[in-house]
Amino acid sequence: MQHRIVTALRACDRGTLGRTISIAENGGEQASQLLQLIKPFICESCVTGLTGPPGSGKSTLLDGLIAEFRRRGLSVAVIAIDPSSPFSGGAVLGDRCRMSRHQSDDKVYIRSLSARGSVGGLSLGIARVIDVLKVSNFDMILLETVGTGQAEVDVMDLVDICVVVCAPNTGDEVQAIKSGILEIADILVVNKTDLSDTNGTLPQLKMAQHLRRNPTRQVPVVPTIATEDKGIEKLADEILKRSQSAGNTGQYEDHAKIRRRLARGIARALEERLFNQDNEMLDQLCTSIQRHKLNVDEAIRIWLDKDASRQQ
Amino acid sequence: MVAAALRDAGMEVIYTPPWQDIAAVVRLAQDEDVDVIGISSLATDHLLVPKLMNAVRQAGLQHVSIIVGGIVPEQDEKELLAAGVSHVFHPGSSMQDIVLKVSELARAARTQAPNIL
Repeated sequence: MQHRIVTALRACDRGTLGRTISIAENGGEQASQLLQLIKPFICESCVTGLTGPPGSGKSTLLDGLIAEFRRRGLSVAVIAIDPSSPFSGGAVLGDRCRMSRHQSDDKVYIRSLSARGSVGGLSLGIARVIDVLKVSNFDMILLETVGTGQAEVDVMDLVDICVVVCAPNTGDEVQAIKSGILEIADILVVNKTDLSDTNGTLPQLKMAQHLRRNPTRQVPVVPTIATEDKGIEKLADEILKRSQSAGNTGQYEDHAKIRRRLARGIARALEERLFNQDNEMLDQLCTSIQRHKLNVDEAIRIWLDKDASRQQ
Repeated sequence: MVAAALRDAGMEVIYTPPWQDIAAVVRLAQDEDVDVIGISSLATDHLLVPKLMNAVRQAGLQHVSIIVGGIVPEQDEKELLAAGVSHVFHPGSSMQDIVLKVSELARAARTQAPNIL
């Protein structure tokens, strides 16, 4: 028997989608229960992530992409992640404003989520939300995130196609090389190309690609002017091309990404345990560090050696 | 102002442009699984709120409260409250009062939301 949540999700019932996504986001016992229920019904939808510095025009670009995909008859789900206040954990979520023209379209679902101040928890929550959306079988799942900070970079490990958006003449080219954001890009977008000197930015970005770890992987560079809907069609083409080739090999998610997610999840669980657990040896190491008998590097090595010998 | 105060109290606030139609607000409330809808009223906008209230209830969002802020004459306020609006904030309301009321309503909404599992 199919649970009524599954039936409602597959019929794209808005109320159920909204509620289940909250449950998935919040985690805990309810989320595990939910994920257990829906596991057999998760479809192979392709997830595209848009990331880039604040002000590069991601939301406007996303709005154009939704329109373009709808023109092609595809249904679209959007997760827009806004940063939360590091002090209160609260957030003002405003990305939706730029997508309001799609508000009454039944084939478009937009959900705003807050980073909730958590560095590690965010990507776990988003992974659960993506699973829920995959039950509703949207043709395209788009995820927008502020491309700064480790939490947001981690989120990009959840997507099948990573689109990095930058604006010309903001120094982003150099920043991009430094931050390693190019390494995760499958498609590069230079937005606001009406703002002059794109001629400088495009070759710089193309050149920067040769510094990549894997220079054989071709990364298209797409110039756009999101506010005038220019270049959006080409961007949609590139995304669909990639999603089809990924679909053909039957493998959307690549092994290395999953491995990274798993390692991060385990590391986080370990961190929690090591921090809270009563442990004599850890206490002794702390005291030694406090008294300058050991530095942290040495203490880590002692702990790991001990741990390895325990496992043998 | 209000959005920032609510954020500083640890809430997640979804901000929309003005002049949303009723269907759009209901859709947004469903999509985002909100607890409280706040309507900022200019001139006589608040007279639309009873219609919104109906639409929200019809969409099955029994647990969602609606509050209104703005210049609302006494007679209108009575009508709004009779229609099921939880609270009307007049100019000069203190931020602290607003934050308290909203978090109280949000908590109530969380406990009243139907358990779908």
